[in-house]
Amino acid sequence: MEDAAIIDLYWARDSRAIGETGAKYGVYLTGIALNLLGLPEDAEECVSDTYLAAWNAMPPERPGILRAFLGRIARNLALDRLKRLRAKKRGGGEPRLIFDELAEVIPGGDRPEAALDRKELLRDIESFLRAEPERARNMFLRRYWYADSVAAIALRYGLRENAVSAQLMRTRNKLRRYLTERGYVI
Amino acid sequence: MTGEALFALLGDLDQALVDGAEALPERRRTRGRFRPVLLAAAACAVLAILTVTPGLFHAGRTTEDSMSGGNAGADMTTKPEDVNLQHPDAPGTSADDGATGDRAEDEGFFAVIVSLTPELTVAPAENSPLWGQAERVILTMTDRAPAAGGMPEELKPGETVWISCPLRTLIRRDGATLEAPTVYGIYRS
Repeated sequence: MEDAAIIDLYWARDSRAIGETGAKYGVYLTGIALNLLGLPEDAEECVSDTYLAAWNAMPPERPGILRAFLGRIARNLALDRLKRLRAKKRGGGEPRLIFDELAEVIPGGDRPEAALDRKELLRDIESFLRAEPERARNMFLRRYWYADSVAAIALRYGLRENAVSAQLMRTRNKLRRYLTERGYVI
Repeated sequence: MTGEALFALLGDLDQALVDGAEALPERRRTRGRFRPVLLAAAACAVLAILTVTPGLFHAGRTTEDSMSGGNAGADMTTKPEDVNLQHPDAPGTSADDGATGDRAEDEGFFAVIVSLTPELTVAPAENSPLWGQAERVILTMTDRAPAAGGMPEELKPGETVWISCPLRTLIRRDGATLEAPTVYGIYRS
């Protein structure tokens, strides 16, 4: 079913919207949630919450790209759930590694997070990524947007895991230098 | 800024960038573990030609001529796509399983969706290590394990896709269920 038709179902408060969303995007959303949460049960709950959030958001929302809209919801919900799980001493694993890797990019320094202009930072990161070679950019996004494991990225690109780790490190270091030049890193 | 905060921030990246990372790389390099399989396939092809072609080494042809002259599949540099790996019982080749039989070529895993049930039913490619072990690989909505991400949201009968996510259930020809070897991800070819 076309996205516009699915969105119309949401707007018509027709419960088939959930089924159609699941049929079209269930695998995609579960993949995102599973990468972050690790357990299929947690991922399934997260995806169910995504459907509920979509149901509550539409109307009034009418997303331009339904896939992006849902993916973002699922990622955010998975992150929230991960925080709760970690509070209960569950979760961690791959996401912890990912967070540790990203922590090197913008060290805390003396600059509180609140002082960062998130939108401006995001724009700068987007500019940086657009200027990167396609493969390096996509590997970065697979790791830090989709939360793919290094092994999964290696398989996807036909590389050794060491090569993937090295490439990711180079991109992170480059991003850090790029942000340093713009005053984000003190 | 903590890594977690930055990760959360990246969630708001321009979707066009994010979607770009969804696409499968155009051509994946042969992975080391498949090379023995490919070499074995090429060796089998050579052996088959030597067996079924009487007088191959006669009529003044040298071994070198025989190996390189017009015998597709006999060349040790044969690429996997040159080797006819079609299996007569291959899922996706019969008319009643709903598949088109159209298949991708590559050195790694690939599969043909032969039907769409509540589960996604895919057939392992003949040149994958799954071949011979299983008739079908069932990827259910709940039987999915860590996705390598980028799993397609829509799979259609007859569509050829890469398998690269853990598939846990194999249905053998005799109907028995067995554990699948770990295979990561499922991508469109």
